Amino acid sequence: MVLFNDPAVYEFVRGPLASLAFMVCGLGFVFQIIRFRLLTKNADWPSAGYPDTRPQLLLRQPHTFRLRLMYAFIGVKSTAIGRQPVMTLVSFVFHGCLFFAPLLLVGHNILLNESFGVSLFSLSEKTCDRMTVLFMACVLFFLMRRLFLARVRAISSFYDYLVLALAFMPFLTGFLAYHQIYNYRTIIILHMFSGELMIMALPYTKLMHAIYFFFMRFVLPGESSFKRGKRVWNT
Amino acid sequence: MSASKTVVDVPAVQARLKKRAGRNKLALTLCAHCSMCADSCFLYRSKGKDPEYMPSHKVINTVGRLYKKKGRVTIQDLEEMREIAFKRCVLCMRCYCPLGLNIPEMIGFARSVCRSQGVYPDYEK
Repeated sequence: MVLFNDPAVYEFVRGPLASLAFMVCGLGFVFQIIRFRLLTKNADWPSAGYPDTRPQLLLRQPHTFRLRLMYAFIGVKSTAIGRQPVMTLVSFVFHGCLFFAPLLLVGHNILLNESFGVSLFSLSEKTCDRMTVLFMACVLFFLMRRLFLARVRAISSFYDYLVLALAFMPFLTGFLAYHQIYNYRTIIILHMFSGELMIMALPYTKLMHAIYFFFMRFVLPGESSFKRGKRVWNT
Repeated sequence: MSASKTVVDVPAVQARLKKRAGRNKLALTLCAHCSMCADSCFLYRSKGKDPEYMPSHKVINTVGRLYKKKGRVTIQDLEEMREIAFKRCVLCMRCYCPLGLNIPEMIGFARSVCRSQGVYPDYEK
């Protein structure tokens, strides 16, 4: 691990490689947005024949309180949290920690301030540490699920485990670095490197669901979309 | 159930794949392999939760296989896909994907590829 102790490696990973990672990610985001626009077109609702008959509009009448209550109950029961509550909750916690822990970490905000003179507010170190542990527990849950549930194992390949490891490594190395387990310089270089790898991979692997989730839910029409959708797929 | 053809018209299959490559490849990449679509398929639930009836499994092994082989499929490949696309799915559109992927559309596409090569269930028999 002599390589990871070299100050030059640290400077490279902290500086140019980080810039490269964000550029590659940014370009990827732009590519995906352009790709989405090319694959879709503006929805022309009268010709598409989609009248707005959403039940929540029809049922928003005082005398149908019971029906609305039933719909709400059936609605929740038929959603992801109704059918698979554990997986949905773990996924929710996982994504929350994935997004907020690095963003509101005091160490990251100090680096941002040093580099650009700006930073976000920070959560306490203890809170972020707990979020990291929670995140790692969620990853363990996903790993166990992928290994031991037959239906998930049936569609899993090396690629799925690799992407999971890609998301896991920045948090593991960050945890080790914060608690100064093993050689700090080595671990922090690995932390930055693994984080940069994940950022670069984001728009080019299945992690691009980070971008497309919002397109699917807010821009395209569908049963779980909010509103009717402004764009539809090209035929 | 027998195919009238013995040789696949690979360029024709490739042309079909190319026409819908944008959307299909996007869907195949976006699929997180989470298997949350499984419970929404009544066939999966009624067939003893056999993973082969999972919507994602059906898509990966039909459309995914077509693109993985770049359209260079054999009649045997199409016959295997026929079993999946025609017998393991009824296009009831009940399947739910948390990412909003249109699974029945892709199964329908797989069916169209099989049908274009004369590989489909013989409902007359």
